[in-house]
Amino acid sequence: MLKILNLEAGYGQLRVLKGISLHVLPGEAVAIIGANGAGKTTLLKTIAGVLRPRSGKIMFNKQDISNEPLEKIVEAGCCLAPEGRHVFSTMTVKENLLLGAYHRQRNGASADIASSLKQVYKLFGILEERANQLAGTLSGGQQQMLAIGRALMSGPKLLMMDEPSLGVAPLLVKSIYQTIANLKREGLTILLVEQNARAALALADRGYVFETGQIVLEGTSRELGDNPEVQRAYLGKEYRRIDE
Amino acid sequence: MNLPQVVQYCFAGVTVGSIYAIVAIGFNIIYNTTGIINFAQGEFLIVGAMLAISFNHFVPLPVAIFLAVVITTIIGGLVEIVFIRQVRNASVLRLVVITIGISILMREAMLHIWDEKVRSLPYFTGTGVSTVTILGAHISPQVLWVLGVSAVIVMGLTPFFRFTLTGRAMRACADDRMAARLCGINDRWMVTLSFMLSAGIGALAGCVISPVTQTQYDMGASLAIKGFTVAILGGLGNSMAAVAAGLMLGLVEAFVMSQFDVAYKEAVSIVILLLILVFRPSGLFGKREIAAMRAL
Repeated sequence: MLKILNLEAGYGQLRVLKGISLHVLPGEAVAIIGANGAGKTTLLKTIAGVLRPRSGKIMFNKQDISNEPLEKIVEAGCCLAPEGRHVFSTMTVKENLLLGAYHRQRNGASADIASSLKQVYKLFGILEERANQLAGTLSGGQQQMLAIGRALMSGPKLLMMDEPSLGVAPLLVKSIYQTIANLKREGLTILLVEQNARAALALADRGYVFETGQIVLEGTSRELGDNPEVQRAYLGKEYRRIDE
Repeated sequence: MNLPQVVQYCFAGVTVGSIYAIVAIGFNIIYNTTGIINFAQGEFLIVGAMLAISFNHFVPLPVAIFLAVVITTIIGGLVEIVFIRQVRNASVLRLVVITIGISILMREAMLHIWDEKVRSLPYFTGTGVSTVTILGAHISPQVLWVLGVSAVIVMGLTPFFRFTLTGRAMRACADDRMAARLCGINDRWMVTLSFMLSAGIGALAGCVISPVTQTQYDMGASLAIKGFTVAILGGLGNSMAAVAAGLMLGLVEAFVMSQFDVAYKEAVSIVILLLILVFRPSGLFGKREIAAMRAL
């Protein structure tokens, strides 16, 4: 579904992604883990079209989207729930969700949108309860649900999520991850960036480990979870090993 | 002062104030989508009025005004496409200076096209001397036109921004530009649209006030300063507060004029602007809550 070849991107003088190649198959959930500044967010932003690649190719459903404008990428079915949620805080929850379906509304698919809205409300009941409340008044976890819900409203084939657990209460992280697992079970393809490597690997089929803009490891979630280097650096198991 | 006099000054104040409010709303629409102050806003009013005056030689008044509004709207869009869009990653200050340049350019162009003569549209109903008597005060029917049109503009914008897809998309751009883009909203088109909208309502306002205030090529600057004062007074970006602030400033000016020399009128509004900037920079109706939410 998504195939990235030798991608390079960055900000100004800064070269962040140094030749990334990866792929995501249909129906698969793929996690990207790595430390701060490894280039995980930059990768998602580049795929979504917020940043332009310096070189390399991004193929989405056999279509080259490396230089397509953002609107076209969303329309093609590739949608990002950005880091830090970025909900429209001065607008109501429902308005936020409807804007997620912006391109579909423009194409006049109002019946589909109503059913998508119902689906999102089913996934996140709290959003229906708070439909007419300003998004800025929601808690961090609820805003994260809204950000995911808004991305779902675009009717994506590939849902990209950037740090869905960041700044969210632990109890809600669990429920958000359960919902993501449900979405996966329903057949949605997911590309997930997380610092919370444990949660990400528990959900994903496969994973890539980023270090300073390069992929240093890849494999199935189990392989990565068993890898001592990953355990030490990202799963915080160092101390237990010393104890043993 | 007796009652009819008070009513008279009230009407004068509210009329001027509603025009200030409309200029301020023009500022706000563009400020919200771009974060810049468009100092060419006053020129849009004058271009609109001048076009209508010229068209009125050939076609009836309503048609002339309609054409003027449409053409000014297009000019607003072109201004954005030609001057603002080309500047990549520009700082707010650079863009603001560009809008000042645009205002000078438009003013000089108008001087060449319409020379320095003072012109005006005919009164929409009646003539310059016809009056309506309200509570003992004599009011020109044009004043009622100004009030009516201002009210329609303000009341039309609210549902536009709340319920239409395009209006919501414009608010989304104002709220969080990146998130709006991720929703597939073409933010550059929204900026163009905000210039068109501001220019359009500016032109309409310019036409309605033309019979009362007359129209001359260089009147835009003073209107822009008043509109800017009102926009700051209400709190930048908040159109409903701009209406309240506009009416307030208009009334204050009218009653200052009734008690002191006319010359003090300008001084009063500038003093108010300075006081607000020093003591309440977020505006009288400062949207601190929303500002705090944005910071989250």
